[in-house]
Amino acid sequence: MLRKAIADIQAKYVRNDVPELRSGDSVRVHTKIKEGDKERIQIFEGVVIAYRRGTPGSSMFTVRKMSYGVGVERMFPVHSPRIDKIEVLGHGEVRRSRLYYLRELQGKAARLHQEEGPTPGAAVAAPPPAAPPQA
Amino acid sequence: MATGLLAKKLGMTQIFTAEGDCIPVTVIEAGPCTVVRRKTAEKDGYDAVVLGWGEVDEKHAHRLTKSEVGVFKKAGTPIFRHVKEIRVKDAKLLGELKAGDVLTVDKVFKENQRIDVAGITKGRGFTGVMKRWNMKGAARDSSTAHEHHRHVGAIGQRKTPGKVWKGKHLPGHYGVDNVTVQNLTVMGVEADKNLLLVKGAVPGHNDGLLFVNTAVKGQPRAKQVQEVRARAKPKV
Repeated sequence: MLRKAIADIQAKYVRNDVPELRSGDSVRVHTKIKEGDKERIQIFEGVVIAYRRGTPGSSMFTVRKMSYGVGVERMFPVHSPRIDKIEVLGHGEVRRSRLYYLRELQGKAARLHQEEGPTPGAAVAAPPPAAPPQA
Repeated sequence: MATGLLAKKLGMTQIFTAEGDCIPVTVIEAGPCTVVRRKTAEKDGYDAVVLGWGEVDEKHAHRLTKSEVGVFKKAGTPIFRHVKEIRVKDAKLLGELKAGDVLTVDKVFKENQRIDVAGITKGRGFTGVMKRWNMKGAARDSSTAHEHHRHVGAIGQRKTPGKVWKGKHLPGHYGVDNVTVQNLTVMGVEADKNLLLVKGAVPGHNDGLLFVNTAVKGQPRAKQVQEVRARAKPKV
């Protein structure tokens, strides 16, 4: 149970334009990278293997991808201002919330069976106009 | 203005800066404190201000001695649960403060300044040397050490000196100590709720009493001064 004073502080940093994510989702995370004075967007595409729902401001999710044969995992704070937008590309059928077993698997074995039907996340993938101005 | 306030630890959370950095912060409810007494160099030998925090109903006055109650009566303030004297070297720091004045968090602290936070650490009871003094302990496996894993090791030498030095680190009571954490950064001040957001951890449990003071080691130099100094340095 969070104290109200702390919950109020966290509520200020909660973003409402984040699509609903769950483990097994294929996502494309657009992150803002700052190089000197310039800012650019970098895309990290992979599978959500863990979604830690902490207190509202502190939830994180982990995205895993294979990069030139090497597994790469990156954790993002869900409400980070550095995330430009998150695209949900599809839902994998999974039976657990933490897909750490994917670390042991490679190639065809590491695929997830995709759920059929339209991806519910696709509709909310683009940030709504109310979102802060994009650089 | 006084340099510090009495406060209460509310708990920890994290915030994002404008750049997107995630900062761990402790949320502190600081003040509002009432000035109970103003000490002056002429009268008391040094300059100080006595702050009170946490109003207590008059009916509990019998728990205090008459002289203790008299301090509040003279100031014309309610009785306070917590009282703390803040001594300053320069009377100018206190300005026109007088008994009865109320100090709020936005008057005393501002964002990005450095502060020291004092509190009483969590009690850990009777503790072994590994937790209390960060000793390494003995072997962790069972083959080289028989029931000797988190022990202290040797505590002295031989016939000389033939005794155990005073202050030898040994198991014992740990925690419930007065501890001051220096040079913490203020990440935010919320005047309407009397909240102070401080980067990093502060001693004690939630709801614990704290004393927040301006950093004794001073504030970081302004950016301009830093740049001037950097330019003045000869390039090797």
